[in-house]
Amino acid sequence: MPHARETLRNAALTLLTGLGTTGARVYADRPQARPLLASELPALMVTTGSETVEQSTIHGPALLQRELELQVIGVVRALTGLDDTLDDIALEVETALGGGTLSTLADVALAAIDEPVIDGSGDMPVARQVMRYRVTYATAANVPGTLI
Amino acid sequence: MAAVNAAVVSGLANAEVVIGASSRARVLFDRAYVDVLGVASTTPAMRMNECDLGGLQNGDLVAIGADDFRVISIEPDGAGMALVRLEVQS
Repeated sequence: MPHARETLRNAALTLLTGLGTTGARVYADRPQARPLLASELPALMVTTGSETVEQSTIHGPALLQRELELQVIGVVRALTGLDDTLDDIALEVETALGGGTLSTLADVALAAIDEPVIDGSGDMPVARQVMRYRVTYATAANVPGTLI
Repeated sequence: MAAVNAAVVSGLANAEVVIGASSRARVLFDRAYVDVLGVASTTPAMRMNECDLGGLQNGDLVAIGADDFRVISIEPDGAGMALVRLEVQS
């Protein structure tokens, strides 16, 4: 049984696959794994970041209330229109995740959108923007793979 | 210095750049790999004799082989050569 984080990340991948701008170019755990190729862009990268955990019962096994950061990173490479494409991606991602749930037992809410980073040091400008989502869910302390 | 530069270009040039409609010059072309924000890219650039620049300016289009580039900066080295940084166009 995978950890609930993996289950939730995969649920986000499913919701974000097939959007108008990025299509099937949706990758998990890719930022440091290997560089994206030009043919793989524009793309979305989906990663999970830090997580806060709060014990909400006294006796064990405790009920853990969890808050996980889900990062959806748009990456584009183009001569012009980088900001417009990043905004197109944001529109599509917000719409896809706007239902407010990743599953019946996990809520998701947009927490922040970072300032776009644009780098023109290569043969064509590249831009990326991180959309930060807050995912709230709960598990038992001894069954971290099952959402409750 | 001009003679040295000419000898460098003559001996080390590995490409011919087409500037504008028909102007041509021998250049030292390089396209090294670089990682840009997690995206595989290159840094195309050419070193050439300043006297071969003609009226080349930032934003101009040039061709090297089958590839078209836009000039994004022209950086004279103060000794008669210039580094011209390029951006691919497709």
